[in-house]
Amino acid sequence: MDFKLNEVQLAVRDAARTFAEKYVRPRIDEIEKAEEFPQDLFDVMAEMGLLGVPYPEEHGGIGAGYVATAVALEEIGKVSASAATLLTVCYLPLDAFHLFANETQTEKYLVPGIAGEYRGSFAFTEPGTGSDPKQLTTIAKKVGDKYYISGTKRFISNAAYPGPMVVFAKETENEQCTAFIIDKFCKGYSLSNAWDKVSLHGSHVYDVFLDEVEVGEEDVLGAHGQGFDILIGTTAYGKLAFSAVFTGTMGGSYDMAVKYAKEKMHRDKPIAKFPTVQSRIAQIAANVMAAKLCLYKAAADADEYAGDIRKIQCSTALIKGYISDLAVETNVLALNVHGAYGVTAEYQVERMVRDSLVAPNIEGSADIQRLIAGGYILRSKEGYFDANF
Amino acid sequence: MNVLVCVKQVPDTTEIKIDPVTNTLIREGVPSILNTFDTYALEAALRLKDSEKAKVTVISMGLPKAKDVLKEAISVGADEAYLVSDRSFGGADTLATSYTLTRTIQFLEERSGEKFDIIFCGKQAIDGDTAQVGPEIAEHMGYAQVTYATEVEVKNGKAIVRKDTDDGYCVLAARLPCVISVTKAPYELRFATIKGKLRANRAEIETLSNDVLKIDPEKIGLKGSPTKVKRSFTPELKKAGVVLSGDDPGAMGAKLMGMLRDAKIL
Repeated sequence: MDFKLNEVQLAVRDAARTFAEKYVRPRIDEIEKAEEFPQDLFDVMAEMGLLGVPYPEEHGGIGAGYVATAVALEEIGKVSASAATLLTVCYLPLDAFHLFANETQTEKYLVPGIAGEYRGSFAFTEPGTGSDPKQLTTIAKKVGDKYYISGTKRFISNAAYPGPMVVFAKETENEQCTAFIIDKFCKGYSLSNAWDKVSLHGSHVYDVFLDEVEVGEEDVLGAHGQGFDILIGTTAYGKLAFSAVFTGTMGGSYDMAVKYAKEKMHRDKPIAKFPTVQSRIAQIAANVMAAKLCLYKAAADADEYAGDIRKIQCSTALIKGYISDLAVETNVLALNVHGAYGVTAEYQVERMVRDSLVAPNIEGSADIQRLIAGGYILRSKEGYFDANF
Repeated sequence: MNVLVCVKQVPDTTEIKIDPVTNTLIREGVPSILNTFDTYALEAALRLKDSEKAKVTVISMGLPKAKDVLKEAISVGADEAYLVSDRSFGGADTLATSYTLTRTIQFLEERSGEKFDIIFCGKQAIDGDTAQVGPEIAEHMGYAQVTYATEVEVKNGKAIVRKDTDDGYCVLAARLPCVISVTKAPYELRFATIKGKLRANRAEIETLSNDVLKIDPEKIGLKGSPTKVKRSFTPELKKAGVVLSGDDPGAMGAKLMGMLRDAKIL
């Protein structure tokens, strides 16, 4: 079995590593405290080509596939989960455009999005639902040849930036869930202050209020009533992306724990000499290895089964549920290696713990991931997961 | 417009250690990088690519692994690169190096039928620190030269160069073709994009040996190097001095005199 990355994947990893180490790491404090992720860093990310890693070259992307995408997010996540999350939430609308946009929409949204000309948004979640389209309360009312969208969307990333937002709404005519593309800051668009939260201080989410936002037929993404497919299709890759971000935090906290164990002296010897510390480090290392293997397998599935979105969703839901919980456990283990210093901001590992706390609760909870994956496995005659792979 | 950049692969450290037996640099275990000043020379050339659509060619004299820094140059935008490598070039001092590079530049010009308008070098390499190769190339070529450059633009067939001085800076004009050695400048260097890295990975870098260049063997390598290194050594660190303090200057003076006599200095 060959775990070596190919030439393209290596080029992506190197670029992501350079972005993380050279550009993000020196500015972590600023990223954590600023009201928005610095525009100049976003520009570097775009110029390097990181926004286009999974998308075809004909649209300005790299066409490197999802293993490369996962590796890039993991590299950035090792240094800053907030920076990696920014890339992930930019991928969400881009994935939706890549999978479902028509030619005109592709030119209008996918191509400039890959070039970093805007920070797009993906708005499904509402105060009353995070995954179930039947519970949507945002409505699209048809008047003549226009639609007027009203409702509240919750925890929406990039909402404070101009650009397109993919909005899911129930059409009042027929109750079907449809995805629309709106321009943020159009008439009827407003937003709350950013949510104050324990995780991802450098990644900001808002409530978005839509009051009779006007769109036309040309702004329907995919087909009428295809909203659920678009949600599943897009978040199948979103689950993979967030799994990569949190696998990255595990790698980051592992590096910190090993370094600390070798440097921290107790009774004239480094604490690395103590069996309890060795045991913890081994557990962290095993968890990192497990997460990485899961991540790369699911990413390889995403590359291999392109077109079979439910197979990809089963695979990415399976690992998202697992890695989310594992990230919290692993990062706490790494914090504990640091003893009392672990909870101080100076040692950074506390940031990894705080950031991973959102892992089981973002892009679908860890619980619902297991329900999705379990449902696929048990309902399907073909078997979505084969233990003999 | 056609410009060329001379670059060198150097050890990634400013604290070079010297083998006390062989008097040579210890390179083992030290990662190699593109010489810091050369990155600014490359940036100056790439800015001319942006503004003047200049074609940027990069050359490096060194071991086969120096192809890594040439690929790095391509990854940030250089158009083509050549490695100048031959066992007979080994042991060259700055004179032999600059002569070899000069003949390489002339070879490339003859082969392509196009002259280079500007030859860029870094101010100096961070391993040898001589700052001689750039100016020597200018002498070999018979070109004007400007050193300590931080900004270069081309106007009316002349290079307009901002040159750092001890007191500030001055702006000079040099007739083309010329040689410009570049120092650290206060601007961000460009980075490699993913596509740039892929282009670099796939780039063919031709190695120019002396079979191709046909340089007079008496003028290359050790034979062509009048510089003889008698001894290289790391200066011993001085011990911390003694500080005398007290309220009575007279008594302290007397104590100092006693210490100097004890040390047989007086």
